[in-house]
Amino acid sequence: MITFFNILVVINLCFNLSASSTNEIKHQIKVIHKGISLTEHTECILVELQDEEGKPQEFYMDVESVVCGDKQCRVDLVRIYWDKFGRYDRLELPEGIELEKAGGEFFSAIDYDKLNTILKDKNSPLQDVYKSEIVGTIASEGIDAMTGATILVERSAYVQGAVWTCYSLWHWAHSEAKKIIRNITGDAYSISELQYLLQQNNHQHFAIEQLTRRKDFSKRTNELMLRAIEVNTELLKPSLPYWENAPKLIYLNAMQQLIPHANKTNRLLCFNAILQTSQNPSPDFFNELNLPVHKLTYQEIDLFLRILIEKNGITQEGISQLFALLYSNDFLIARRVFWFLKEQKLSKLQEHQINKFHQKWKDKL
Amino acid sequence: MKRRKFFKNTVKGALGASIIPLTSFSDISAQSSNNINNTEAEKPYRNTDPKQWHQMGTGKKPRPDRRKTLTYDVAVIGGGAAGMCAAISAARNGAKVVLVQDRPVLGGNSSSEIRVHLNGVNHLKNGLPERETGIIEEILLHNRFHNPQDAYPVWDHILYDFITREKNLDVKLNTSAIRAIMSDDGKIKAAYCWQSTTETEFTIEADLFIDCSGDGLLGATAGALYRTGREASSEFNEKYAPEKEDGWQMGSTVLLGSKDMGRPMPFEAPHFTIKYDAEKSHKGRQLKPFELGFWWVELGSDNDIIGEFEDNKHKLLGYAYGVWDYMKNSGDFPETENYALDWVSSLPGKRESRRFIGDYILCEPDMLGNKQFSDAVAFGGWSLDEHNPGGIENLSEPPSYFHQYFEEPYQIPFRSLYSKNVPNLLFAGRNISQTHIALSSSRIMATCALEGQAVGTAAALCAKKNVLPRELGQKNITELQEQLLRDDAFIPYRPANDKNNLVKKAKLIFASSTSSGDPKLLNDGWSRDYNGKDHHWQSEGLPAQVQIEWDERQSISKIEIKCDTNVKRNIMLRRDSLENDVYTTQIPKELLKSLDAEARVNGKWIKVGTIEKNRTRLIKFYFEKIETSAIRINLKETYGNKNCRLFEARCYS
Repeated sequence: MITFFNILVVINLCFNLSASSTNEIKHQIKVIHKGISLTEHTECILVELQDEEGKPQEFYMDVESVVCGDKQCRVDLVRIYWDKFGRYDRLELPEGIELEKAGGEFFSAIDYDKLNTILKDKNSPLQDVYKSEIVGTIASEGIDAMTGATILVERSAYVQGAVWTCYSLWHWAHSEAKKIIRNITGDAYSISELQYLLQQNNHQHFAIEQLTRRKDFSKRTNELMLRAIEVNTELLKPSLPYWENAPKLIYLNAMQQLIPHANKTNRLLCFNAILQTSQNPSPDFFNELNLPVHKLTYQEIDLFLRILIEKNGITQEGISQLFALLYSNDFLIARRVFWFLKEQKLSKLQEHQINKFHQKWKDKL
Repeated sequence: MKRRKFFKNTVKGALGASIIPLTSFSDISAQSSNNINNTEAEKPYRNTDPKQWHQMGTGKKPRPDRRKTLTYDVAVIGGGAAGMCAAISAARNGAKVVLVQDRPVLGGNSSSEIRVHLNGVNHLKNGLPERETGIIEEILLHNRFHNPQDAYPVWDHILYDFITREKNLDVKLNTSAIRAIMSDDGKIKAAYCWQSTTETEFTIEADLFIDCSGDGLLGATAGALYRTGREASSEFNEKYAPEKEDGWQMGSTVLLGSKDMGRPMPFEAPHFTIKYDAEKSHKGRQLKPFELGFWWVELGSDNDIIGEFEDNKHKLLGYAYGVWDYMKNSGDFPETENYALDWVSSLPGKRESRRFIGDYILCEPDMLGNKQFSDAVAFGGWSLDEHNPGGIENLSEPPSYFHQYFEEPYQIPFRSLYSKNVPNLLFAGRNISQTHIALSSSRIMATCALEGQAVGTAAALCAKKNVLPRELGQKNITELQEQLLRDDAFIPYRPANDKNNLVKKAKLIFASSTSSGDPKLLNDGWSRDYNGKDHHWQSEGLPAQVQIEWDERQSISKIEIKCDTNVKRNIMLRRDSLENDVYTTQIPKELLKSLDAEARVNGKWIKVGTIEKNRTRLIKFYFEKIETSAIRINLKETYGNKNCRLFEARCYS
């Protein structure tokens, strides 16, 4: 058991355990650690440190510094800290313990700095590496044996002489524990606190994720969500599960507000969401979308027409608007619209236009 | 222990375990053999009386006449990985094919008789595989679906199932191709074969012969040039070759297996055991893990490795039991106390003997320098893994010299896969045209399988065009490569550019969602991500759709797509059922399971095919020809991944 800890790196002093924490809650959790097993969960104790108001302040877990490799490195019990949003914060060692590199050499101050930088990088090259890719293996036609001779990961991704330590700790720091921490924190926040975070640049993803979990579809949350997406269009995608689970009226209203101003990527996301939704939009919904049809790509037109068919969204008004696209410079769009319109109930004039198109392009239809 | 000689180095000895008929040969060359007085003309009833057999049930007195002449486009000799892939590819490409295998089972070194892992490019220098696709992958996937228990005897029948379901393909097991019957123009006219189980002589006539037998008896009796032993380093500028040429050929191995019986299991060694001297052994002769035997229990030869096979086999059994005796009775391995042998191979797995001479001899600098061949048709990438001279009789040296790992796969040219002097003879497997050092890498079975698919496809094209392999290589190499790529073979740095592929003419390719890659890459000719470059499209979630649009109407009857099976993970059958990050016993979770395809005809989408339980990387929808301006592939489910990844989409008229 760990008794005393020597704080190595303190990123945020206000999270200093000794300074303000008053309560510890232990959570028994199961996580997959890529260095231990790709399929079996490992049971761990995640400790929540609460502030004086009983809210999560930070979290830690005591883990082994090396969980895989050539068994040449010494294994120490170390403590990993996350902030309340599941972001890696710092590492602490028991007093008198120093991390060791190959050959029994201790980590230098520079090594600790580098380790900390590596652990803070959620996109580290270590992310996609399997333990078997760390070093070369040697084998003939029989059973493989590990040599540890060649390290195959790029140098910047690990402290030289301590690749297994870096690999093990990175995968602890970025394990499923992060998501569990976010949910514990999210549950401890009130709706208004989450709404506040939705307006803060740094925590919008967290707020959207937790408001979706909490199924809060209040008017205030809807408005804040739409405003946030307007400012930062990248938030549309993570917000889609929120809208999909919202009551129909809120869903349709959100789509009507989002689609006309969206860029191509977001418009396709919305179209696909509508295609797959269990909500049931009325034909009027489509008429009122106010689409900039002449700016749409073939893929968008194709998808939109598919939605109209599958969701029974065809109206005379919509048909009239689409006729303009028969004369699109993009023949694929014109042809696609032709086939759609050909199947609709048309006026005589419209039928004439369709026949004319057919006559002109019959070899390409 | 004194060496026992089972066979002298007679013809019979040279044939190893094969049994040859003592009756006549019907070919001209046979008449000059020792059996000249036993020819058909002189002994029409072949030493039997036509009324000798009294069949009690019917009362008939039949005279069995078990001589058959069969005619094919392509005859493949040898039913290992190379031979199977050669036979299947030739048959699928329209040739009438026979596969002749001298054992009761298929699979060669990978069969239950030998149990060597069907390795390929298992690990490059970066530690990752670059797995083979094409027919060999289909076979390995077939095994994953039907043999989750990893049983070797079942594997034999996985192969049997796979190959006997193929149209245009006859399989003759327990049949040895004993000699070539030659025509006046120097070509092989027929293979004279003996099926031991039915006492039947087959004369197999064919336009093309593919020798995938490893030892290459058919080719040798046809007079095809070949080499054995090691080249001098100066001949091909090979840094790992000896200074002076010699006769050394890498050895054969006897594998064994044991199981934990849950109680102490004493072991008493049989009389032919040869004591293992662990103290004198190089530390590379690893004794752990011990459960599945030791690949380094190996004996080669400086001379006639084929003729010495049975003698070497006797010694190998002695050495194998010797190592096991040491594990059980030296006292140094208490963990073996409850273990007992439950299988010891009686058929050593061969690594090397004849290497035929083709128009090109593949060598070490080609591989290490990654030489780009305009006639590349296959690839390899196992390390230069040259087993030590002397094998287990040279204990002080490491069992193998892993001279060098490859940064990336090397190419194998078509000119190394047909004979220089027998014009209708092709070959694939360890007997191809290469140096000893090149063989140290390319002998691996999945690499041999790629060569097999290449020569099988080539033979079918030769039959179709009525040309010989050399001419095909000179005039039609593009067609051969394109067909291989279409059939899901991979040739490094040779992207497909099939002018018949109608997707090349498409105006637009798009997908319903994209989490990585780009739908346009389905048309870039590459069927895998390679060397750090993406060549895929991946959906974001499922279901997903890919749509291909043409400006003009197209006549289409075939849609072919290539999905992901994760070529960075090995899926071959292993005796240890290893499950880790680069080996799996599972069906690849990336593999597409269910999908359908639609074509737009007169503005309406028509379903042209549905697959609910797909089991292959190359997925085909074949249907009545239709006129269409767009197709749509609806991807529904994988075997575990939430996203689906495709590499290629093709359409043909």
